[in-house]
Amino acid sequence: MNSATQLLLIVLLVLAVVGVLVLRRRTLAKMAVRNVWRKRKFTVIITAGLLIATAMISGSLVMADTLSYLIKKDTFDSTGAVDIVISVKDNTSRDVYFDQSVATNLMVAIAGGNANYLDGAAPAVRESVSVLDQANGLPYPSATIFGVNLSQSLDPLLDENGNPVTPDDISGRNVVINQGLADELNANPGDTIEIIGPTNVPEFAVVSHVAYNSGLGRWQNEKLVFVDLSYVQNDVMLQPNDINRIDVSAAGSIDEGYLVSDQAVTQLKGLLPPGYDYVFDEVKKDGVDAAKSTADQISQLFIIMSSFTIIAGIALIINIFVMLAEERKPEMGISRAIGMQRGDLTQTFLFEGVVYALFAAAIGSIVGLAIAGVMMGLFSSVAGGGLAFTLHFEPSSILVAACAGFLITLLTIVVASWRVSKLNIVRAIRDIPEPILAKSGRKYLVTGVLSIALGLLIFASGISSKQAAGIYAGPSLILLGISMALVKNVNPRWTFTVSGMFIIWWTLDPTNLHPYLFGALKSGMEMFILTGILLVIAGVLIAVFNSDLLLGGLVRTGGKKRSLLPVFRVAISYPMNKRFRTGLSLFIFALIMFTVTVLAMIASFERESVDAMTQQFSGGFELMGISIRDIPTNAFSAQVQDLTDSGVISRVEPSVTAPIAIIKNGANETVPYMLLGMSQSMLEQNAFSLLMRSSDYASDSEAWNAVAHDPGVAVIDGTVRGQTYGPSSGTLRVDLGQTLTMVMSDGHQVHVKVIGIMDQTMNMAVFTSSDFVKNNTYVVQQNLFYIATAHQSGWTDDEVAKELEKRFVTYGLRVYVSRDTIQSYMGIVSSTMQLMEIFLGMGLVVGISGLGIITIRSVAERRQEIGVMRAIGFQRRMILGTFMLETSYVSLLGIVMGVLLGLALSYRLYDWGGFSKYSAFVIPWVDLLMLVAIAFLITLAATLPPSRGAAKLAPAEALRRVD
Amino acid sequence: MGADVTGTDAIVLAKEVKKTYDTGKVKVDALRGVNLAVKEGEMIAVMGPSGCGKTTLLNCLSGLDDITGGEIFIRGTRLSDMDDRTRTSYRAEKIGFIFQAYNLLPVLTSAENVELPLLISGTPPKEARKKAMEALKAVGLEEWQNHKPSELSGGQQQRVTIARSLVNKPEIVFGDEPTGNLDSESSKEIMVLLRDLNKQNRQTFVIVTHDYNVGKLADRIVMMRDGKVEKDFAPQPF
Ligand SMILES: Nc1ncnc2c1ncn2[C@@H]1O[C@H](COP(=O)(O)OP(=O)(O)O)[C@@H](O)[C@H]1O
Ligand SMILES: [Mg+2]
Repeated sequence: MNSATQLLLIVLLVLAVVGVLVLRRRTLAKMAVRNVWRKRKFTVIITAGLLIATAMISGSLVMADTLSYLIKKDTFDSTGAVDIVISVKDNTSRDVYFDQSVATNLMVAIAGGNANYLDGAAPAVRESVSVLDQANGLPYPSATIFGVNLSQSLDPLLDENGNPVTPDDISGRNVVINQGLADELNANPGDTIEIIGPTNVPEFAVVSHVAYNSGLGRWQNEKLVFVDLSYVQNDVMLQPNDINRIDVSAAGSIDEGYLVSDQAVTQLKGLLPPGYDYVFDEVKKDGVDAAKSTADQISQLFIIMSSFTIIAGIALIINIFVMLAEERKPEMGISRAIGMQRGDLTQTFLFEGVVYALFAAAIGSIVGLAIAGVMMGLFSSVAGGGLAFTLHFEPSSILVAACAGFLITLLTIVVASWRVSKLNIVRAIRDIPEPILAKSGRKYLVTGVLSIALGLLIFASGISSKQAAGIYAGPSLILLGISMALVKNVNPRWTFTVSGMFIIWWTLDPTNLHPYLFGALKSGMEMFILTGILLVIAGVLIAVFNSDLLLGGLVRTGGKKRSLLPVFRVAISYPMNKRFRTGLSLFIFALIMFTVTVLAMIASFERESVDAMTQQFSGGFELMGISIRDIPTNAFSAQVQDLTDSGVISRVEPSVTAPIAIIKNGANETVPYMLLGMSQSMLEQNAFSLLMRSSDYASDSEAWNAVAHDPGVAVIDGTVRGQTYGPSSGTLRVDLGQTLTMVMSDGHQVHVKVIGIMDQTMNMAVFTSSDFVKNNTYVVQQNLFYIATAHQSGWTDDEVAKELEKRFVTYGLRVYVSRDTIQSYMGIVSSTMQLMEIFLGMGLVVGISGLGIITIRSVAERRQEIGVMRAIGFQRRMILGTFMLETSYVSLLGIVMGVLLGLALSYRLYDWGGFSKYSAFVIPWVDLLMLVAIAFLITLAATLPPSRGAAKLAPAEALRRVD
Repeated sequence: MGADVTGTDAIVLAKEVKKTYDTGKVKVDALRGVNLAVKEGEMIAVMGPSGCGKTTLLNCLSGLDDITGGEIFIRGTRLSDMDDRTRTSYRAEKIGFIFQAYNLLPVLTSAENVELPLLISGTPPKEARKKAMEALKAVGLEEWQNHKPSELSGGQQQRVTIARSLVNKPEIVFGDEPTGNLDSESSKEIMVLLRDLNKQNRQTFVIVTHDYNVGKLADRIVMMRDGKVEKDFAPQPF
């Protein structure tokens, strides 16, 4: 049973229970429905408030669905009928060629009906080549040549008009290139291109067509040159009758084959001749899986992030219901007086709540679609190149969102209505406000002691499981429990203020007490939410219990102008007296602003990191060149002599590489890797920064020096640590101090101890000295060049890179600009942050609409008071001022509190997240001020109309009792 | 003592006052031509059955509501010639109000409630507090200055209201069923308090009530029926 059906069942169960209750208490249900209908306008507002949780969940899921669909579609488009690609690997997990008869026999076997899970197979050669367009001189160093037998291919190769290309189009000196390569080369049919393959023999060919951009023409989104298979074998690769790929289609249509991919592989294993080490790449299935896991990750990320908004939404629901209940108090008091049970009142509220929750779930899931649409639109504009998308969603996602939203909403309503039904009958009838600490001391004591016990439990489990969440939440809960238990004995101002300050201190841990006390702790995304909630609750407690001080100060300063004094006096008294409500509103605003601030800060750190990261990740080399074929060191120097002389290039450091395989820790599996050797002189002054370093070395450069002289140690790239922010590449995980077992191409094993892990993740390799490489393997490639540019030359790094690629096109040299790589990576990360900001910014709508609703209700609630104020001489604008001041106070205090707490947490994240290494602590004031201004102005706009209404009330009208 | 409808010594003068409520669905003629003159320093009680238009009359006389016909003069100035701002300022400076309930702002303490009219008219805060305390003392509640209305009994609340209505030494005090929510004992206390204040300060009082035991403490009783003044007489001294 999947989660959608489970949720649906729960919802149906709840509805069934409610249904039974309705049947048993028809009158109550009738009353509830009438209440909903009687206040239609209010029902609309309340539904708007309630649907937020549903909308956020639905938005997250639909976004994930859409992305998943896009990725899946891309997989289908770029692999066509092919489900599995067979290759053969050597000791170092690299591809080797094998006899074409393997493919031919397989095809015969499939055609003979011996394999029900297989549809067909086709031989192919795919190999990296560099291509140079003779017509315009543009190079492309990392294209793929695709040797295809048109009569055997699983997918047709189509020309630009969608017609199959003829054998003539790709035979002899004719080739078809795909759209991707045509774009890189700016090539057109008729151009002559130069193809340089691994054998270094340049081939000249004429482009007959640019292939249709789908199926075979978009194979794996690579830049492709299609050539007749036998031509590649004989003339380019010089491997007659050998192939390096067999493309296989599993049974079923294009979008079904992946379902039986595993069975197909099993059958293939039975059909293929022994003697080769086959690799089965399940391209379709992996693509679909990747789509699913990306979608899961994204929806998880967004749902986690939206929990802030959802929590704010829950606070809003409680606020609305408490207000609603207060307003109906006399009514409810009379009902109680004439004999309705407490449970009956709760039930009436519950029935009403079910109606609201149903509305909210239905409309909310639709609103979620709109949210997803907006977010996807922003995504595509951020992703650049205007990712074309259409919203795509699974009906089950909408169902899940609606069900989850319904349950959250209903649960909140039940709790809220249970709370409000506990009213004092006499006070209710006479509409006397409940005293703030009306509950008996015992109840507080019990709640307090229970909280302390729960807190201890959470704390203990946090300590034993090394979970940060428990260690943060436990003591905070204990302190709150103590404050609660002592409510009758000690002035709550002191206990709650102290608790609040403790929670802030404990959460931010400015003195790094936690690692000292508890060692390394486990934590994840949930900590962001937990710390946010703890900090904001603490802030709200401090603010609420000290509001008289705060407001006293405000009245003194604001009331300086004598005519404003009465306005200040009254405006400020309301939030001071309605602490619960004010606290909830503050909580909503502060929580959302907190999140948005933290995200804005992280985005700022990411942006600020680019310079330092470029410097440290690139070891001071602006460019890194990797060639397909060896470039002798002196040949390289000779070809760039003019650039060195004219000061465009200041330094070139050639390095050697060798293919190796690393045996995975404790597994029988190997991962193909690269061994990289740097010269002694380069290592001795190496500036590549280390993410982690063995404590045996005092500095990064000492560690590099050790690598230069000690063949037993090495440094490895940063991908082995995974990534905290952004996508992670690589499947190998290595710990500091671990001994790596490397398999060389001749099969012998070499061990090195990892003494450092680099920051950089672009170049995945084990870093050693060039002597080490040469001593341990005979397959040494001279194909890696670190290049430093001199910026005074007037050449940009991009220009130098392009120039080098052009000069070394015959070697297939690809030059990477470090800064660009880092920038584009950081760019993606920081724009994801910004998207998240926007997504969460939508949560501000919760706070703002909440305050709007509360203002509307306040005006209704205070009609008579407004009348009295007008009678004793408050001018219209003074009434307006009173309301605006009150809402401004609540919203501004919440906003400022959220921003400050967000800044405080960011300051800690700056260390915890490792940002301090690369970035200055830069506060994006402009961004933050804009956020504050926008939030505040919209609040004013939302609260102005009801406040205006209050000011316009005719005094006699306002004074009239409406009951 | 009869109604001096032409009277020039009247502080409040109503001539043929008509008031029609238009709720959209129905029109209610709450006042159908009321003539009334209130002399300076006088205390009058407006009485009559529920729905006869007492509250409406009070609201119109005090400028809280607009009239649909006739004229009202306060100290010779036609009310309809004043705009909302002027009327509001006038209320702040010259008029005090006591209503049946919902008199006080629940979020302010007694003292804060009482001093509010003074602050509106720009009295410095210190002086305002001093005067507020005097007023609270006058109604015997100086010890309750820091209590919120919800912590006071109905009679105490009403006395705070009286203190507020008198604190800025208004010329006229309007009261709409000031004893309406109180038991008869407290009602009498309040009325006696009001009459004493009226006699001491020579302020004018217009009090709406449906309770004859309250009304008979006034100088004059104005009986209303169906939106008109039915009769007008001095009560028997008790
Ligand atoms: N705002 C209003 N809209 C419509 N009718 C009203 C309004 N206020 C009072 N009335 C009606 O006007 C009449 C007089 O009301 P009111 O002056 O309150 O009477 P009293 O105070 O003598 O009980 C009543 O019939 C009442 O229903
Ligand atoms: Mg009345």
